[in-house]
Amino acid sequence: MSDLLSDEIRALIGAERYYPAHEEIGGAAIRYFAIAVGDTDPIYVDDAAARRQGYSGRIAPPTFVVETGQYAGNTPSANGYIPHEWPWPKGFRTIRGGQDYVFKRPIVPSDRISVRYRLESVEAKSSRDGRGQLLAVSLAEYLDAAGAIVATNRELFFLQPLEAGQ
Amino acid sequence: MRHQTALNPREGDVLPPFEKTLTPVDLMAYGAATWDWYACHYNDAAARDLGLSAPFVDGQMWGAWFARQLRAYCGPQAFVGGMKLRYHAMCFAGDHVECRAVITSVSPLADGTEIEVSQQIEKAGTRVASCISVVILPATGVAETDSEHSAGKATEEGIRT
Repeated sequence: MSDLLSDEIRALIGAERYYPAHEEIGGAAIRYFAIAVGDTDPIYVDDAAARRQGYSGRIAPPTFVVETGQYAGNTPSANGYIPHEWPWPKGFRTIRGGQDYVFKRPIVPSDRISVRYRLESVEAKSSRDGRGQLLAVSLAEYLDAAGAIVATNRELFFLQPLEAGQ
Repeated sequence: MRHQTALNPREGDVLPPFEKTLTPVDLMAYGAATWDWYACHYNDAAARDLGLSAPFVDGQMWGAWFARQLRAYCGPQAFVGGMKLRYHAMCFAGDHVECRAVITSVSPLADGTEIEVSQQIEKAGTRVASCISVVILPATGVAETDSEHSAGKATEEGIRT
């Protein structure tokens, strides 16, 4: 099982990536997200409605900042993936195990969000099928234009070895 | 309509559930809105290449659903301070899921109330995702809203989409 934790993977532990903000988040991205997740609260799309609730204008749904991949600035991979990912060796599929989110303040359309990733750990774990798997923990910190952390996302994911031919 | 948004939460209070049958459009829309065009969320062949039977839901979508349930109950001034999400089973287009939640603790703060909520998404009795969320409720504020997004709109039927 520990064979899965190769030197190539060990070398990734502690790796960091930084994606500077390309532009403001924008009201359209927030509205698009709210529609996609079925959230019709007007504070996400209507400045006046948001102001009536004490905000300066519309805000983003709480998890928008940690779910959008618009920061990465990558071109799509062969399978269409754009958001940040670590350069795992071939032969694994990645399955999300969980996320620990911390939010510091609401996100607004004018926010310019940069993201800093760090691969905190990778360790071997048992699996139901006996082939073993790896548990990786990656931390993303979302920073505003002033450099203040507005949210964090500690992501847990499993690397499961693919069967031959997969 | 106007509703009071101030809550008097108690441990054990149940939030209105909501349920939905997932469609391929739901999966596609979420992927597009989050800049995630990963083919396994909408393409049968891509999913099969990973040994899966069909395109699957991006687990992070459940976070948005949990947050939506929290804000719908707690009101637009509530602040979601943290969420601890865990994924237990995969979901596919065509699955019917239910989102349930219960308040597990209530703590007074100097400027409001902090509640902890245990949330769960199930399909056919199988746990798909769970979440422990922390929400800050303001002590005072604008106690009105012009939408259904307030605690006062909670119904026995819950929120259906």
